Amino acid sequence: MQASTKINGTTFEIALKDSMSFTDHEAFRKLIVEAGRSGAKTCVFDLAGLKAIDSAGLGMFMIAKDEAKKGGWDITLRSPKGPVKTIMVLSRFDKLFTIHS
Amino acid sequence: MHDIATTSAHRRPLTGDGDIEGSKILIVDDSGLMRQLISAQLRKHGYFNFLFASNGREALSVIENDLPDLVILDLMMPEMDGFEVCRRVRLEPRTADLPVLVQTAMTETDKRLNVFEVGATDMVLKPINPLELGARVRIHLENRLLLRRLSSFRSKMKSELNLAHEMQKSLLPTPEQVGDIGARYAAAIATHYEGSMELGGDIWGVRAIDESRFAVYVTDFSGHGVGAALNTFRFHTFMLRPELALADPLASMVAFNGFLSGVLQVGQYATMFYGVIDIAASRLRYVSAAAPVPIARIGNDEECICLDSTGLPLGIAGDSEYERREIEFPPGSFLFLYSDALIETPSMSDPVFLPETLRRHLTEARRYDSPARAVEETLDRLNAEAPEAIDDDLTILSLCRRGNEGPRNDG
Repeated sequence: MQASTKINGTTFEIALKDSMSFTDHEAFRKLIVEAGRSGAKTCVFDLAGLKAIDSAGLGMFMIAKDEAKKGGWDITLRSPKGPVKTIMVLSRFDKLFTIHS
Repeated sequence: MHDIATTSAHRRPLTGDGDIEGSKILIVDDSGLMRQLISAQLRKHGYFNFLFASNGREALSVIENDLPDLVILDLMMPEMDGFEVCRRVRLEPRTADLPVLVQTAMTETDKRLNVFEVGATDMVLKPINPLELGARVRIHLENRLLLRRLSSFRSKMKSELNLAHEMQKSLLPTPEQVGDIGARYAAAIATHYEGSMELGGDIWGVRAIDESRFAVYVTDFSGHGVGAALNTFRFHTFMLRPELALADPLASMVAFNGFLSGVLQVGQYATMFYGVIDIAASRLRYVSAAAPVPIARIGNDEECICLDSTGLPLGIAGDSEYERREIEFPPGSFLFLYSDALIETPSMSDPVFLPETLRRHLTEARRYDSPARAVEETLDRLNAEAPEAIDDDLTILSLCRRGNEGPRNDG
């Protein structure tokens, strides 16, 4: 997984690329901590460059949602594509997150 | 000058105290005096189990018959030199990792690199400093012991995992139980189950409900290995609860979700298909928590269809809502359920099957009357196109209702 971050006013943006799997757990956790510490009200995950995600990866988003709830900020997912979009549609991620295409 | 003795004395041994002093040390030197000197130096460090050889040939013979734990090897010897001994020792699988400490003089600089090329583990400079010798011998013996312990731990782990694997298989219905259900409801049921890493996060089941209804389900816990497997045991026990309303897929899924939301860690979840086949009403009623797209064939239809299996996974939130779905399921109907390994092998971005291609494959195969053949042919195709080992637990459950199979393609 490749990640790049930037702050845009009250929005913390994280662009994820390549694939997410269980080996990215630690790195993802650090991103969530960073998002929380930034004081941003919304964290946007840009998924346009994400090519694949496994069950551990989906689980990481659920952990992120949990942290966001505790920290009083919210999460938006942007532009999931291909197999990532397919699995998110199947898992009704639209019920868990705001998703923008 | 750096005081190796003090360092050595104050360093906590990596192994237990006294574990390595009994190690068998072979001292190879053509000078009897040197052999005595070296063993005397090592005795001061607590070692007492020595073997001796005065040339390369003897050394190899002792190694063959008495397998020492470490060899101290002179390079310049008649008959066969130290280089040749090293070469031969490394060729034998039995001694490929035997620690060999070569004695070498500072002046033989051009030869020093060669000793590592032929496989020496380490070298001691001549004239031998007893403290340095003791320190190097200790390190190599400790390493060897630690490696042996690691290897033995791995063996033990492997047998424990094998036991857990057997226990996990015992969670599944036996072929007899599946056959009984098939006979009772006039259905043919075929299954395939294969865990990765010996343990898996998949569990499937078939359950008789009453005279006209039976349930089938496939559950897949996120993750792999021991963690996912432990969740299958939890789930299996929960499924035995008598108060579950197994005839009602929605009530059942809500119950499963309530249970799992309470016990799974954040980030863990399960996907599941739970369906009830009603042979009196000719209906399949089901609920899905993000299960991989099931393929079905209704009645005597030529083509299979993909079923809507969208839904929140289980275990994320106690109040997740699910959707009741229903299709006609008269005699001749066919159902194909599977875990996501089937559509993610060899990789998520380029799998052999996707739901749509699987649907087409099953339509072309026309094995509606034989779920066993349908399963077999699907696996054959998967193994043919992705021969490397599947990375994930693979479960398939397929069934058909016996009776009017309708027009068959083979005439």
